[in-house]
Amino acid sequence: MKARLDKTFLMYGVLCLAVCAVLIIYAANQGQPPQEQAPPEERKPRLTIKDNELDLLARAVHAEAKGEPYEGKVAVAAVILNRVEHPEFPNTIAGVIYEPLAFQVVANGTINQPPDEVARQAAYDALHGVDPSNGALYFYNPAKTQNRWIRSRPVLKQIGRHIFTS
Amino acid sequence: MHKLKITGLFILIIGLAVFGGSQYYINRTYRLQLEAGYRRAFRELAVHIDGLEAELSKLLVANSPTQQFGGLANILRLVYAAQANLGQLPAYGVNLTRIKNLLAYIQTAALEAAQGMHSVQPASAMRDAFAQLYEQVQYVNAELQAQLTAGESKASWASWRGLLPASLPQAADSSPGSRYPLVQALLMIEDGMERFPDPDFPSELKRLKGPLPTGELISAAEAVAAARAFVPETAAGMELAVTNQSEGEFPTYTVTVKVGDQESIAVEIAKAGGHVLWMINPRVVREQRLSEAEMVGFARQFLKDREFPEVELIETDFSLNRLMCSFVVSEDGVLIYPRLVKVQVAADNGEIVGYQGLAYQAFAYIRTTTPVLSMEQARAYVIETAEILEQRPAVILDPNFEQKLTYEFRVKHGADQFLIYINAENGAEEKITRVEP
Repeated sequence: MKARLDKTFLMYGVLCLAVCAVLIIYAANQGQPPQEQAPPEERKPRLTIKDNELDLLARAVHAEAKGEPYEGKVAVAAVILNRVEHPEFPNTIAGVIYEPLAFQVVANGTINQPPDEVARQAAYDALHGVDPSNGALYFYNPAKTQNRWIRSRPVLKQIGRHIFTS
Repeated sequence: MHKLKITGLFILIIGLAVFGGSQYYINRTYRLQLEAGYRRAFRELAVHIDGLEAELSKLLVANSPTQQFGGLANILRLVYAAQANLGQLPAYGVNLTRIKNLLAYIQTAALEAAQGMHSVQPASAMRDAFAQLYEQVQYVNAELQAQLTAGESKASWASWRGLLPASLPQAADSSPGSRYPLVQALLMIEDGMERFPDPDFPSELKRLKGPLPTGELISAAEAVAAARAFVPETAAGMELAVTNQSEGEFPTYTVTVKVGDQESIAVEIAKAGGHVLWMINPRVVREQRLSEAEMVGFARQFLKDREFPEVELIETDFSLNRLMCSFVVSEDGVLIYPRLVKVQVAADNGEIVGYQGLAYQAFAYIRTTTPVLSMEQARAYVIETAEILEQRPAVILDPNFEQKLTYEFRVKHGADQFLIYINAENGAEEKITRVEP
């Protein structure tokens, strides 16, 4: 009986060590972007800058506007493009999206998820000049932010759960 | 029994200690990397502003086109670099308008000076503008150098790390800029810049925006009528209603068109004049059944049915099983590029699934200039090594949204093709666009 208890205790110890090892490996791998599983033959032989920009914009739309109406998705993409054109923001799509603290989806890694077709289409519409935000530079979900500064900005439009401001 | 218990407990404690230690190490590594990125951006910003001050001072004393042009090129390079550094700092949501606008003013001034430098030195007005900008850059540079010195002597750089946010999402929701010494330093510089007047520069930043649609204000019911006349009649029982509106520079109504259970089509109507600005249809097109020529035909018919003036197809882009057709108005054989409309056609059934006509509605072209040069005379201004493939008159916009009457030459140079625009009045090379293969 005693010997069985001793063995059980030892097994628990070893098990804990194994769990710790798994957790360490998991923690060490956190933050690494997930690898897309597209088979090589489905990849385009050569991506142009335009394709890359569309992809990044679509990732931002997919992560930021999941569950929003289509118009709201296009508006999110348009806000990013409005910033690119504005002298107070970085002048590339990547610069705007990866500006420190600008987008939570960059901080929490959801920007790395591959976009769906609707997000790609929304980004494509915005790249071709459609701007449902009417020139907005910021947007926020009033249920999720208490930031007084962003709430004090003049409201241009509300689409779905997002408020778009200048 | 007791010995085994102790051993098991020991292994457990060691395991937890290893896990905790590894977590601390990983966290510290990430924080140091983050801090290193911010520090690099801040230090590089200081270096680039310092270089900018030196180049501006040299520009004020330069008296030859060679020195002036070299100086302007360096200024542009340093401005772009400083703008990139600002974008890498955790300064999102912080009001650094004056610093960012200062860089934008210098960029615009340098570009305009470079464009006007055929043989003459910058005009006195331009020189005065650069002198004002130089004074402000001097202030920013002195403050940045002082902050760097203070950062090195008072608190170690490592202690700044402790003030970095524990988590970025929390920082995003906190009062902007309240936690970062680097950003606090920039905010102090921003405050100090209040004492400077706005630069008296001919090309104000406001002018970087194009014209907007105009006309008499319409009601919501009129907006619905405008949308009903515009939207393709895809099915019986379409329900149209104004579901949103926006304020801002050009107020609009959003009319949504509901057809059965499909997600709504949205049509944006300008309150001023009732112009249709854009239309988006979220339908995902799954396959291609039509040829490009057939799709262009659908787009042309769509515009013809809505009584658009004569247009010419200038570009197509096939993506996501949709063909984006870009047309510009053609008036007496002259392409009016500012009057651009884009029509998206579904590749499965030819349905019009997108329209964008903001520029078309905003630019009312009135021919005010007549060409001084003939097309043959303008050819002489195109580089000799280029082979001219096509030529035609065209109206384009300059960076200040001024309309210019030009001759457009499609040329082949090496393996690439370009569109070169020669001013029809004075032969100036207004614009060069590379034609994507």
